[in-house]
Amino acid sequence: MSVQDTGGWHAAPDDLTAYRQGHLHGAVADSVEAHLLRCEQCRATLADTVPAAEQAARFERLAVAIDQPSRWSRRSTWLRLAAGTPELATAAISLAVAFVAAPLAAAALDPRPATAWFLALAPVLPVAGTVLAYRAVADPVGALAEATPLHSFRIVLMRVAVLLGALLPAGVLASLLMPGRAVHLLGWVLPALAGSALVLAIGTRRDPVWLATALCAAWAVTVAVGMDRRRLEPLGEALDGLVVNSLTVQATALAVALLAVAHLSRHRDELTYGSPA
Amino acid sequence: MSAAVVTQGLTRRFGRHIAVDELDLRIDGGGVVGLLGPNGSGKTTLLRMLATVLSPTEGRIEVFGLDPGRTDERTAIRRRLGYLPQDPTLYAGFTAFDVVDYVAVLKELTDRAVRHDEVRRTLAAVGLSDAMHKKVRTLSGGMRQRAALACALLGSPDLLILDEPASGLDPDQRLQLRSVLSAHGQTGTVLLSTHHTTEVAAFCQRVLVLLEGRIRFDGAPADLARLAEGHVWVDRSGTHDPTRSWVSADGTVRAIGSPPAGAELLAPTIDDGYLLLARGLTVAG
Repeated sequence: MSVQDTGGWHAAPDDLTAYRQGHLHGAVADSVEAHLLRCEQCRATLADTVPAAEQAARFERLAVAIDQPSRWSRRSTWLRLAAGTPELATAAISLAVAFVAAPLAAAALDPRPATAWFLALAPVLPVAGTVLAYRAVADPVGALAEATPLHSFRIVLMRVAVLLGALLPAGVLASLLMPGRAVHLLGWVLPALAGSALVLAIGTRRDPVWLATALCAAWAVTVAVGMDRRRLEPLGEALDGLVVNSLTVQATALAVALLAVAHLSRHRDELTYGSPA
Repeated sequence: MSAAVVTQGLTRRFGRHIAVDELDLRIDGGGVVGLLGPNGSGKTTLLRMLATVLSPTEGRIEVFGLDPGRTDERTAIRRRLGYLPQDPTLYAGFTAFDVVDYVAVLKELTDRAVRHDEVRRTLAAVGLSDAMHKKVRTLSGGMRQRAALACALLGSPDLLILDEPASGLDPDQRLQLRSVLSAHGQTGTVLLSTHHTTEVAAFCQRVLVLLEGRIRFDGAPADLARLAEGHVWVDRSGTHDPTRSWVSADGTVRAIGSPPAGAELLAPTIDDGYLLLARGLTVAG
């Protein structure tokens, strides 16, 4: 290693320049680095050999590396807000997997009760997912966000879209794979959308948990009672004869969903959440 | 130039309970205004309404001359506002930097380099530079409170509304808070609620005392102390009434209210003035 004695050991300027440029290797590089760690004078000399523009660029790269401690920082603004907390993404994936795996596993054991349970409980997940988008678990900063310019209902809508985007395809896939005709097993889709839209609309004024619970309970009881009354019929006929699969119920669900969406769309800029109006 | 805050007949009810009752208030730009009041006096409700988070039941609010009831004007107000709620919750899995950066995104700081500079600035202002990359779950209560305060300071807002900002801070941190808020009060307006009369006396230019939803005092901290002039004395009666007297550090019993004849009067403090109002003790003269 080239060093010169100037009252103490100091690295030669040529070595410092070579170190900066990455041209020193092996033991010499290690030695210069070890010396720099304990010698302020050599650090200053090294700094002097770095052009100002290069220093600025290095600091900028360093700042970028330091300031991006998580993947969330790399997302665009709205995507980042829609993502909310990691728990929200975890919930969406977990519920979607459960939506497919649980009914299929149950159907492998006993198709009839599994199908009845599936139809009774299928709307619960989308509606529960919609409620989840309102909850504190979905928001990283809670009330701190409330007085910020971008705090708006749009964030909830985007989080609901993320959840439904995972849950609805999973539910449809499960319906197609379950025993029985798919057209009967897809009877939950429109009511689930209507329930989610209603929960979204009501959630701007009241805590949506009670509405969601009531809607899901009413649906589940109706399906359970209907299936029990038709327990002697073959599965396909029993599903076909259920009230929830009737044209009236499906058309009503569609109308409710459209009305709620129209209301939300019309008032989306006025709506807020997180506080009673 | 319009006032920072103007309210007229501002009222907020929760069912039958009236939290804020026909409140008229004007806060011109600049300075630090302290809001004192016991628990349940309506401080948080008032601050939430002024921060555009809660709508009033009746009455009018203007912030910078804008109406928070109108969507576009509410957004314009929020662009000039910093708000620290009572008991802010932060996601435990984020770092302090992530939390402040997330709020910075919500505050429309879209340029990443500018935003990160601002996040670092506010974290440094509250003394969290060394802890910015620690997860929230590992931070102490005081550090979390300071991280939340950093969020409110983002963008050097014209109006800073802080609900009990000193909560959970130790004496050193309180001194630092005073320094930060005093500096902010040089260029903007700071409105903060607190239970600590010493905070108000130390750095507020104006103090409001809110009792049962109404403002019962509006003036300088020294004037609040003067309110009790001639009404603070050494109680030697031996009967200690906890609603109007207490034992001070030197062992004497300090009493407020109407002094008996010949009582040894004491110099009033802002505490005395506040307690006199809060406890509804009549002041003669």
